[in-house]
Amino acid sequence: MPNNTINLQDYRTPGSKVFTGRDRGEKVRKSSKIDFFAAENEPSTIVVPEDIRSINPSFLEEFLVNVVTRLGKVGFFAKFKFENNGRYKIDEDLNEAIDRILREENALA
Amino acid sequence: MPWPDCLLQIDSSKIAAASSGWTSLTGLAPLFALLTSIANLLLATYVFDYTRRKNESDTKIKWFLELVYSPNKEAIWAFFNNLQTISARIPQDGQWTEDQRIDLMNFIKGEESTFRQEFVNILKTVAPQTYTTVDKAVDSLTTTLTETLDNDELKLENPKTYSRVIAGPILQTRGEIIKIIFEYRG
Repeated sequence: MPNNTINLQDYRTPGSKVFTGRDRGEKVRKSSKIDFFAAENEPSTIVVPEDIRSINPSFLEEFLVNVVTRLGKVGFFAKFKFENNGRYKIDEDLNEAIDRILREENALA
Repeated sequence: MPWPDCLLQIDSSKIAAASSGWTSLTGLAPLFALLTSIANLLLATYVFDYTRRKNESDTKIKWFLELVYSPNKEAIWAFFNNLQTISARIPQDGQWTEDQRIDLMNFIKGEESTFRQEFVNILKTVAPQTYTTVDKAVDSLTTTLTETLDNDELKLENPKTYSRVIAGPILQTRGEIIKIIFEYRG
């Protein structure tokens, strides 16, 4: 797997098919070092394991908070691609999380 | 009967001492007056400040009720009532497909998103602390329900199990949110 890829399989809780909660999102953000990816020029890929049932917006909010704040919504989608071939589709939860991050940022500005 | 001589004797030294004490108390009168004035001033300042804060708080509560709670309270009941329909979406034979689990998780997240748009997000600018606690409670409920539905070992078609792991957390969160709103003090 290329260096600029984050495979969420590596950060799963054993036996679980969901990613939930802000705490978990923060842990995965730190251990995956996704924040460093935003600084690089090359596009990056986030792989969603095929048997995943849900990645909740609260998890994604903490996982992506710094990269979305730094790149904005358009910049984020230009930089990060999602490999999402299972039954669960991440799009709606991802958009919800990004909107929450940007809303929070606007409130603080 | 005449008074005994001993009772008529005047102890001039005692009178002098008493007189001296009275004189010194009289001398302290301006100080007492000053202290009383300071105490009055402090009390007046406190009452003024308390009244001002109370008025501000009352105004905030009034606007909170008129602008946030009253127009949007239906969103609170709708969120919890809609979550209660989870029971109708659980296969009664316990035979889940992956799509059923994913759809039910999506349903919960969709309800959460609607609730946030129609109520929780409005709190953010008006009542930031209330927003934070409501936000955490809602987030925690979604996490709990998602993780519960992800647990293949749970027999959710069993009413007791359902009540313990799904209906219970929903009712508990509803109670928490009502308490948080009730305790809002501006």
